[in-house]
Amino acid sequence: MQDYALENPFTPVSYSGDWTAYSADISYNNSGENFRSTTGRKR
Amino acid sequence: MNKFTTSLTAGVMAMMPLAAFAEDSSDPIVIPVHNWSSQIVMSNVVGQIFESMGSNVEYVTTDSQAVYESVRMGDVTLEMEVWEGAFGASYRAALEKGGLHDAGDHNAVTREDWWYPMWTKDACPGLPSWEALNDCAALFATAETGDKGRYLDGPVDWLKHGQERVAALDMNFTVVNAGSAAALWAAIGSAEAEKTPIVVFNWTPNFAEAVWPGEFVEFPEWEEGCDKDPAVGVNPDALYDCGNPAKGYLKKAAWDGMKDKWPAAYETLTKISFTNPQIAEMAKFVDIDEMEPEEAAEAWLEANKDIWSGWTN
Repeated sequence: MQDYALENPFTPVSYSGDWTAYSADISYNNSGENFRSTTGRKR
Repeated sequence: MNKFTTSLTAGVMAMMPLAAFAEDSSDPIVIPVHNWSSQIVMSNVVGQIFESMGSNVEYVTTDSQAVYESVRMGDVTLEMEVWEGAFGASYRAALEKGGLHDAGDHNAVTREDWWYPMWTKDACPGLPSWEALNDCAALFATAETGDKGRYLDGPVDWLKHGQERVAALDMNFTVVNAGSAAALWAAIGSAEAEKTPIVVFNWTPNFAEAVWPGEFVEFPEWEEGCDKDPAVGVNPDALYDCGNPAKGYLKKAAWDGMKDKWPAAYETLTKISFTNPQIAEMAKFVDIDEMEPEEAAEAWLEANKDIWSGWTN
């Protein structure tokens, strides 16, 4: 079962409070594997 | 081109949807994914729709606040779930700077607040009024809360201000914080067996409404400043003496360049509109049925062809 705590968009867990800190080096090579690690779910 | 070919081509073209005439770039449409199920599945649903139209699609994991800066700059192409209460400020800030725009609303509302599964109303028929809930407080009492009702709030670090609400409205409830979101769902599931009345923190859309029909408690209506100015709200001496905003929008946002680079996909994006139950179902496929997001998207598209096929022409 995945980590449900990651699933409340009203409480974004990754929000640092400084959205202007965005930089262009976000990952562009994510595959489906990354979705799974992001949601913390294992089958 | 001979006459036969010409008429054949004309015949085929007559059968093609209008969108097929538009020339979309072969560059991938970059779709951001975040960390909650409905957004991931919805993004895959939309990506697969674009692929069915001949577009290339790439998914990237991004921060759910910083994504608006990414869309504005064209690093990602769109955002499928702009929740007013959670992301409205970041969205508006990026909108003012320019580079992204409103691509339309879903036919859905977003909300977070005190919530109960429907069997609770059988025991406390005055619901959803908060005053009726308060009169029924004894029904929610546990060994932990004595003669007061238990309100199971979200984890402490979610900062949902349940305790302040109880104090501001002088309610006969004790706030207990769940250790995790999973604990909220476990508590509802446990109460379901005996149809025990329960009131917990919840939000919509999520998978829960696809599993347990329920309603939000109606507190005094949200007023701007209720969380910052004690004078606002029914208790002039307290903050949080009102409910949370009840009808937040759920919007789509697009990079300004999308409509020129991928005109057919853009046209489809503007037509896409999901409802709360549809979004809840998408989340349920992952959260309850344990499908992979891409499988969940395939399942949703297969089961709802009549809904989405109209968006592609």
